[in-house]
Amino acid sequence: MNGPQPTQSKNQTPPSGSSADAGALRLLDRESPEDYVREWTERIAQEKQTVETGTVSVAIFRIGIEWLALPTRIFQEVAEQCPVHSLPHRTSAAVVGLANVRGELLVCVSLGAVLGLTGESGEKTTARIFKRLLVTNRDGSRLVFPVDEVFGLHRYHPRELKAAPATLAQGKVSFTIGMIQWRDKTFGCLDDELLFYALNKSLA
Amino acid sequence: MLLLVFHLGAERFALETGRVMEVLPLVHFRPLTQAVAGIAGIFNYHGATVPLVDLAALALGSASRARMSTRIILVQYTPAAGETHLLGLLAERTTATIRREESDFADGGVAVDGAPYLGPFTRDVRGLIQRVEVNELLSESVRDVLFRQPMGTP
Repeated sequence: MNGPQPTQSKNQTPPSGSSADAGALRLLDRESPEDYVREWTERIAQEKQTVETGTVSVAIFRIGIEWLALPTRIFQEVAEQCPVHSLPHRTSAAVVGLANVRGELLVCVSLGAVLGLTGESGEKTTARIFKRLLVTNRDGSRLVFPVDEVFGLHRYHPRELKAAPATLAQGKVSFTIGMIQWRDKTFGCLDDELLFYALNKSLA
Repeated sequence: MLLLVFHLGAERFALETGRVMEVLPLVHFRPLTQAVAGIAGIFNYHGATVPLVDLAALALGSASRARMSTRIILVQYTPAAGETHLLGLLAERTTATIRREESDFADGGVAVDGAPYLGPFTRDVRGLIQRVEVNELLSESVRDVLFRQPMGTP
């Protein structure tokens, strides 16, 4: 039975064992659009932008009225807010209780209590604010702490760090490496080593 | 080693990727007036002027067609120790890579005078692929024309 023969393309003869290579060729064997060539010509002619090395990535979040940042590498997850079950016979203000994060019970701590922040939210805003739980994992020891808002990730160079203002409450300064200016906000960069040392101590 | 496969006419050739800096799409380049055969022109690569060799023109005598799959392979051209230039190679149908060991290459048994850049062969299901030696691409006279004044390297 003779069906219609598949038409061979004119200028190339890929054998029957067609591969991804042949597919790419079929797709790319056409005139390049003028816009495309011009755009690439411009892009390649541009001066190369060098990416600064030695920058540090931090996650920015808000507790009360304070914008704070911790190194991104210690975070494992940003979770939805969920009920925190208090622990009986715990008097430490730092330990809030246990949180159920996707079936796992993790100790929930209050960063605000350790840093000595008041819980009040000074800002009145019409924008919807999503409270989140941040899950941290430092060398396998995991903790959860609630924040009022997560802003996102930011990359900064250590030389951008400015000294914390002297008017800052003494308790918090000891955990702050410095201040970073970002957009219209200034946030405090926290020392994760010290902070988690203090947090773990309050768990004992 | 990883090799970048391209076409010269109907035949396939490969280039060792160790020398390849970047594979760029075909961009507008400025033709050089009264240039040697095989030299397509020069183009602006992030502010540096890089000479562009048309491999099809060099090997077959006919210029590469302007297609989406015709690309500029930017290589580090090291004709002599301590001398490195950026060189753009215009190659048709640059769409694939292959991985081969040095032992997979066999000499073709035919050496072409005037084309010392044609190296040994390897094969795949579709046939033979010849390796192109980047550092042998340009004859001394062409090299003199292109790099007499240091260009391309910042």
